[in-house]
Amino acid sequence: MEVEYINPFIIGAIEIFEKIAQIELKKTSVQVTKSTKPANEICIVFGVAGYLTGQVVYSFKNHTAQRVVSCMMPDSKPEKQAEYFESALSSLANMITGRATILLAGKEHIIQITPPQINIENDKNAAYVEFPTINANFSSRFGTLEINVALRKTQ
Amino acid sequence: MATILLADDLAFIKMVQKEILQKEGYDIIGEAADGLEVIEKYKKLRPDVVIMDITMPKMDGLNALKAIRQLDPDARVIVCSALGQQQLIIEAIKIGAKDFIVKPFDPPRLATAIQKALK
Repeated sequence: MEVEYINPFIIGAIEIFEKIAQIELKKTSVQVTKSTKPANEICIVFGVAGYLTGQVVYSFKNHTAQRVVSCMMPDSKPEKQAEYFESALSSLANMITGRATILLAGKEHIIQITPPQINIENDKNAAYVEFPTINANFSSRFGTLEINVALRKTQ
Repeated sequence: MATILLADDLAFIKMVQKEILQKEGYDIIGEAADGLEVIEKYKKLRPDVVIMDITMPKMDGLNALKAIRQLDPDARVIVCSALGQQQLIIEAIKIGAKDFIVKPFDPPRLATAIQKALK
């Protein structure tokens, strides 16, 4: 796992949170871990293939996720926010991943991602990769976001 | 009034697109959540424009675009994806996409792409 693979995700997370939810994110720490297993109970998982192979996992605490969705749908009633809760979080994570792949792919390569898989309550059956992972943490006025990125060049 | 078919696996994205397009006076005649469903709905509904994601279950948007263009060489499909990589944009346009919108998009961008596709 090349350390520089994390930077596009950091840039993407800060940009997309600001644009989609008007939430300012601040990077608090970056460290190396052994797996993409998330620290928080709500997580969104993407598989990555093409020029790079691996997995990206976003995770929030439940109360943070609720507040993020309410910021994404400020004019909607709570029932509608609840109806779109999983889809809104998946969309947000999808846009961050998409933005990161633009930077990682450059002009010559193609990177594909799988549709997002959302896990609530840190599903023990979810498959997280055991591979050197860069873990990036962010703070916001509603709580923290964690991004775990485990990518390598496809052989 | 032009008719639109929306294809995206994420309901939130379709909800946002629908709100924008209905305000502009377009008629959303169908929605699909995967590549196979969008082909079936295209056959049945024959919309004026399809707005389609790339990353979808069962069949991705680029393969669905190929299939729709084989069914109808005049099909107007706009790709709307977070994967705005240069090579993917080139590939989508080569296959026959009328435009490529990168998510997140501003509402006028979507409306302008449809107006252009309908000309």
